[in-house]
Amino acid sequence: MREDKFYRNFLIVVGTVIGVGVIYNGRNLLTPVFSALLVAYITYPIVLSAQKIGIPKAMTIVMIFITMVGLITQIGSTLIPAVNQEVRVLSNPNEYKDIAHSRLIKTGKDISRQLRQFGLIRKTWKNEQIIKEFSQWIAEQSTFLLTSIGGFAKKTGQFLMIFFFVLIFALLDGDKFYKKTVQMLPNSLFEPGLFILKKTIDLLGCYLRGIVIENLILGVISFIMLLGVSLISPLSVVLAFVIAFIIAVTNVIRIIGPIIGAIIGVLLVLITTTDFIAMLGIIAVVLIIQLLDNVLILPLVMKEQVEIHPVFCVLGVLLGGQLGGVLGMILAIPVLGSVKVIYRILAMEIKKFNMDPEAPLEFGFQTSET
Amino acid sequence: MKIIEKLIKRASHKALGDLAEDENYLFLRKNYLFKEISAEAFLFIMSRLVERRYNQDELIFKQDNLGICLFIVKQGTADIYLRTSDNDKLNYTKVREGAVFGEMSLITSTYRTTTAKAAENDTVLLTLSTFDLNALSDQFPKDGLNILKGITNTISENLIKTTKKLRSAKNEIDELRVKLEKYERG
Repeated sequence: MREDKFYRNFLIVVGTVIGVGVIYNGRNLLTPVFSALLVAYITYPIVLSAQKIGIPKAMTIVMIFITMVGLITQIGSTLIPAVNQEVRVLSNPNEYKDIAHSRLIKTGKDISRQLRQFGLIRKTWKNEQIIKEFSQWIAEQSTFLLTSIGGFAKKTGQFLMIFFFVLIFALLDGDKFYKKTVQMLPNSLFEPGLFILKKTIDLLGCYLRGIVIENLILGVISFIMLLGVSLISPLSVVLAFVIAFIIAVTNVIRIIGPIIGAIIGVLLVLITTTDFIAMLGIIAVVLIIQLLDNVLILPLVMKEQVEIHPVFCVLGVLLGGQLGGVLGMILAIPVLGSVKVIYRILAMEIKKFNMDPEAPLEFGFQTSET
Repeated sequence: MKIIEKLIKRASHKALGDLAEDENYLFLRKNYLFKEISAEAFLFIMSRLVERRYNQDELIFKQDNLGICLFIVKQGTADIYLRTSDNDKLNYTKVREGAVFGEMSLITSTYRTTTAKAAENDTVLLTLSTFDLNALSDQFPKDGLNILKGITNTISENLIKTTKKLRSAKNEIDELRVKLEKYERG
């Protein structure tokens, strides 16, 4: 008996080590698969609701697919040419001779001029040399970026291929997957297992959909506010949409997310318009959005929100970054929240079941309850 | 919209036609709970139905645990019994092929009043959970109502049987009490 227990524990430890090893080695695959499962899980109610009103499952899935491809294409077609052009200018030594070719450097000059006007930096400072050295550094980085663009494009292509492949099959066979999971439950744990599985799926769904709704609302508010900014600056409507989208997506990462969103937004403005007011506008929008999120939207959308300690939050984001890059960072918080939800359910609900047939009754004789 | 409805109905009938040879389909079609329901709802149930195999004396559910499933005996038999507060085991009933048990939990989602164990090896049960019934009622309200009516009928019949048993037990107790009084009087 004791040997049996030892072997069981030994197998669990070996299995866990192998499992972690497989996950670590296959982390490149893990991110697109996990992202697809997450998106499938969030969008599955749309498929069910459409089915309820008579729209076939396959048609809804095709619609979701087209919407996502359209969104990715729109963002890609806006960002890629602008970034590509700027990187080429910065990395080309012939064009670099004329520093004015780069909007990035030009903006650097503008900012230092404005800071000097406000007295924030001394007029005696010779910032020409600093800007020159900074430009040199950027040029080097841009050359590196240009060489790695090919690899990045290949990786993105692979990611999207795996992502859409898993997404379509997860949406098509989601209910079969659920049934298979239920069938795998052992007889002794069938009812408790089914109950916990269903409760976990429901709560997880609420949590993840809560995150989506929260960030969707924030995205819309950001877009409206950025449209306001575009009235007083050269910020275009398309760029306002892209920045609002980035703010909404990065907001998933608590604490660090808004900072990343603001930095990316400002960099995009630097690359495309070089306007100082637009940059300040983006920072203001991010600050207002944070305030609105914490005071109004988060308590409204996620009444039973899953609180994660800031330390775990930062560690989770770093670990997510190690495992799955930027997307891993974005997914880290929903994953941490999901783990907490599952733990909470397991800790609380399992007490309602006692499957030992010979164990004495705990609740007394409760015929009156049925 | 009507064209889409017709298309869905036709697709459901075609899918059911493909299931014509499926043993669970043939078995369930005979069951009183699912006789009256539409092709679409039947397909939904077939997609949610889980088959479970038990060995002799294996526990199916336990008294006082939270109940969430209805069981249909497809093969074999199951014993249903209850334990009193003194932990005495009282045999209640034996359910055989085609019988439905555990149906109360589908309506009330509350604690089990009895314990169920497989009475022989290779007992096969089909299960439907309260979540599945809720989803079915949500998607096909008429069919959900039909199944609920069937379950309510079963519960009513069981209640009538139990009331009769209680009445006869009470009569027996009364007779015994009269006999005891007579005996005590000498």
